[in-house]
Amino acid sequence: MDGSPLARLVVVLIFLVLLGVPVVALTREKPAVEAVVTTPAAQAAVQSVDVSVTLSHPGMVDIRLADQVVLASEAPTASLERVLTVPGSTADLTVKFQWPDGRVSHAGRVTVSHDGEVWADQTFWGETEVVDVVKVQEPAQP
Amino acid sequence: MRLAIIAGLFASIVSVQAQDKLPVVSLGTVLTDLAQDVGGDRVAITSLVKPGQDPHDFEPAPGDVKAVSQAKVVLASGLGMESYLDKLRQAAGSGPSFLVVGEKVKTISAPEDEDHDHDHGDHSHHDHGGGLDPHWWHSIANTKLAVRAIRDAFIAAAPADKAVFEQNAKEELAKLDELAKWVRVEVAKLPASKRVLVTSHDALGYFARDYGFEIRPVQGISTNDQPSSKKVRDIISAIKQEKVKSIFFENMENPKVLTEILQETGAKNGGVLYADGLGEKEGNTYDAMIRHNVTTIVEGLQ
Repeated sequence: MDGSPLARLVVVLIFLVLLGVPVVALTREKPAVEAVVTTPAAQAAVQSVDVSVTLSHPGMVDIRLADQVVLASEAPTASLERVLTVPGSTADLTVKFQWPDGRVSHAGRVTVSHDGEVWADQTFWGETEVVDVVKVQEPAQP
Repeated sequence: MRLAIIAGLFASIVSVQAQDKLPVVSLGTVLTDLAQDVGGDRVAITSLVKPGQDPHDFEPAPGDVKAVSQAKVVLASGLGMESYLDKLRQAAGSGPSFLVVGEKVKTISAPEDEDHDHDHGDHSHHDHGGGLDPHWWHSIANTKLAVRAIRDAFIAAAPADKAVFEQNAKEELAKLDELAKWVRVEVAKLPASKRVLVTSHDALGYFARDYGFEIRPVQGISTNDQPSSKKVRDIISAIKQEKVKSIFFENMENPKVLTEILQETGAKNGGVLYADGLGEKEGNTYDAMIRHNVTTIVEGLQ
C-alpha cells in the first residue's frame, strides 16, 4: 500500500469523509424549537377523581369546583360519593357543610383519590356551617 | 387657683401615661397596622412611611432619624425594602432595638430579571435584598410570623405589658386565620387556568406561591425597575396567547406602560391593587388591603 498512489488517495478520501460527518452534524441548521410555555392553561389535562364525603351527623353537602356546583345533597346525608373530572393534577374544591342541628360540634371529611391513590384527605369541624377549601393535588413522585 | 391645680394634675397624669407607652417607629404601613393591633394602647407608634407612599422611594429626613433614636423598638420590613436601613441604624445609635421582620419570615427568591432597565436616580445604592422578594406580607402565613415577632419584640422592650401584648397577638392571629380561610374560599372560585396575574411590578410573588398563580409583572421587583421594549412585547404576546382577561394596576405606579398593554391586547382593566403597602382610604388596614386585592383579582379574572 505504501507504494500505491491510488491506495493512498483512497485512504485520504476515507479519512476526509469520516472527518466530515461530525462537521456536518455540528453545523447543520436545526429545525426551530418552539419554547414550551408552562402556563396554568398549558398544564391542564382532565383527570378523573373519586370524591367521598363522610359526615359525623347528617347534614347538607355542597361542593364546588371553580364556583360551579359539582356535588350537592338534596337532603341531609351522612355520606356521599361521586366521580368528578378535574382539570389537571391540581384543583381547589370549595366545600360547604350545613347541619340543621347546630348545638354540638360536627365533623365532615372529604377524601379525593385517583386510581386508588389519595390526593386529598381533610376533615372540617363546625356547629351549623363550615365553608373551606380542599386542595386536590397529585402527590409528588419519589 | 383650684382649677389650675386640677388642670396641672390632669396634664401631668396624661404626660405620665404618654411616657408609659412604648415608643415605636415603623418603616412600613403594614408593620404599623400590625404593631398597633399587637401593642394596643400600650404603644405610641410613629409611622415614617405613610399609607399610599411608595416604600421603594422613601428616604428618612433628619427629623425621622431623631424619632428613630428616641424609639425603643424600630420595625423594618428588611430584605432590601429599606435601602437606607444600615445608615439609619448607625445614625440611631444603641438606643432602639431593630426588628427586621424579613429575617423572621419564610422568603422566596426575587425572580431574576435581566430584561429591565434600572431607573435608579437617587437610589443607585439599593439592592434587592440579596435576591429575596421583600413583599413578604402578601403571604398571610408570613404575616402571622411577623405578628409573633412583633409581640416578642414588644415584650422584650416592655415586659410589664407582657400579658396585654400576648392577648392582643392571640386575637390578631385568630383574625389572620379567618382571613386566610376567606382568601382560600375566594381564590377557589378561579380555575387554575385563569390564575395568571399581569401587574405593574413584581410584588405579588408570595401571593402567587400560596395560591397557585403565575405572575407576569411589567416591572421587576422594585418600582424603580423599568421594562425594556422587548419585555413589553413579550408580555403582550403572552397575554394574547393565554387569553388573559384582565390586567391589574397598582395604587403607587405610573399606569403608562400598562395602559399601552391594555390597548395592544384588548384585555380589560381589572382594577387597582395595593402591592407595596396600605392605601389611604380603601385598603387602609392589612385585613382591608388583602380583602380588596383578592376581591379585585377574583372578579377581574372570573
